[in-house]
Amino acid sequence: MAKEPLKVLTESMFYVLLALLRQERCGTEIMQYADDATAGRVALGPGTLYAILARFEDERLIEETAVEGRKRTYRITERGRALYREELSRLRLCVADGEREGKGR
Amino acid sequence: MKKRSSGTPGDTVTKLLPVSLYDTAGMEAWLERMAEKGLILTEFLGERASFRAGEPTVCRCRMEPRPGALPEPDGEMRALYAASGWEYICADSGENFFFWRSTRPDARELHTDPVAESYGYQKLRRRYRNRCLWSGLGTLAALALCGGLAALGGTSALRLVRDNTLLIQWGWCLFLLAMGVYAAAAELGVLRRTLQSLSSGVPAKPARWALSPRGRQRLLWWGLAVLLVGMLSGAAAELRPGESYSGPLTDCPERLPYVSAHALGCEAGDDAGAAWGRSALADRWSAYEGPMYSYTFSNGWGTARACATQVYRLRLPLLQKKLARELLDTQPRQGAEVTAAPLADDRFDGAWYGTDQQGVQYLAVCRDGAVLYMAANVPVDLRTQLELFSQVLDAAAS
Repeated sequence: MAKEPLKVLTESMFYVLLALLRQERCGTEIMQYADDATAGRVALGPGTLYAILARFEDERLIEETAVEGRKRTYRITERGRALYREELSRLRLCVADGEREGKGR
Repeated sequence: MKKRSSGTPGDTVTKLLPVSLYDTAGMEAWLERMAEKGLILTEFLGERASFRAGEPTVCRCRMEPRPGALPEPDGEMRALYAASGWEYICADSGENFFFWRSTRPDARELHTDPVAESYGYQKLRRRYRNRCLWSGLGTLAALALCGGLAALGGTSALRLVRDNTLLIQWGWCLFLLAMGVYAAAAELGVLRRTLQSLSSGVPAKPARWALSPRGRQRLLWWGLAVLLVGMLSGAAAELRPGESYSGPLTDCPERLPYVSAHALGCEAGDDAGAAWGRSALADRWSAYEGPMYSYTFSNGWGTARACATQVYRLRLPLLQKKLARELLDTQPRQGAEVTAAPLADDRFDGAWYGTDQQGVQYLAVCRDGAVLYMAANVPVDLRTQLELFSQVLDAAAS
């Protein structure tokens, strides 16, 4: 059975793409970024981050740009940006739905 | 010898895994309990875990499917995990999982997103399924080869029904096969459940029903004990020891299915006898009566009774024709040259008749799992008495 491509991102995946949107980062920087951006709400475990990076690389959503010793740096690809935008639209729709429903009360 | 559960500091202690390796939650909990007892995991040796004895430690142990093709974590992975307070311990013997440990209470959990965690399990399940497939095909090929060799080598139906050893050996093989199939199916089931759970965003729960190496070893020991007892107790030769009787067959305490010498035109005589027994695959009776005659062939001589009957009631009827043919091929007197030809008769599933160079008649008939073999030195042509043999088969079947 062929592997199903990613269509919907989890929160952790979303923040990994978000971390790479403006600049290239390595794994620890991505973890730090998610911590800072969400004030610790989204905590990326190292296993989770490693699995997400591997999957994103498989799906060509990100690519490696440099290897310095144990540190690998990644950047987002056009495909990754497209998926990020799709996810953002989906989340906006979710928020809009939630707000509309909330106003109704 | 007292079983050692923990050693003095610095000692190495090995333990058989008490849960299936694929039961992630169960394995992690066990390793943490071991650490609390001062046993720190160092490596895996087959289905055993090796520990270094030391001070009791409160730590978190985590395992995760090997993410890529590398048998050990790469530098980036180690650095990333170390930055979060996790130390790599080892991989299991099959290099399916990496094991990590953290003694820092503030260390972030290894996996914070079950969906991302499920990716590793997807790969693991694919690898495991492929391995099961190849192992299954290999086992089937080996069984086919053994079966083929047994058929080509002429595995004796006579030995099979008289002697339980062969049956016990095959039973042992089937037992091992069934255990392997169950273990693989259970582990695949654990992987499937883990995957389903993680994919839907829920951490995996312990799966107690998977067959653990410890459980598998217990089952093996039990199986081996049954095998040894079976082989040594004489049950291998016969489940019920055979009994014998000397005297007129009409007075025999056992209800014998046999063909009387009188019915074939001879005197029964006093010097008659019978024997009967039971194996796992058959009940069998043999009877002899009638006047004694001498035979001499190129490589054998001796004396025998005029009417000798062997009757088998098989619990595996498909062996009946093979057994009937084998009786004709192997039971005539040594040196007798018997050319048996099939008899066409609707009363039997198979019937064969032949004579040797001294005119002794041999006949084997079978029906519904009952087989009758007769060697007779009588004036009557056995082929004219087929109804009589049919009645004996009826008696044996009942």
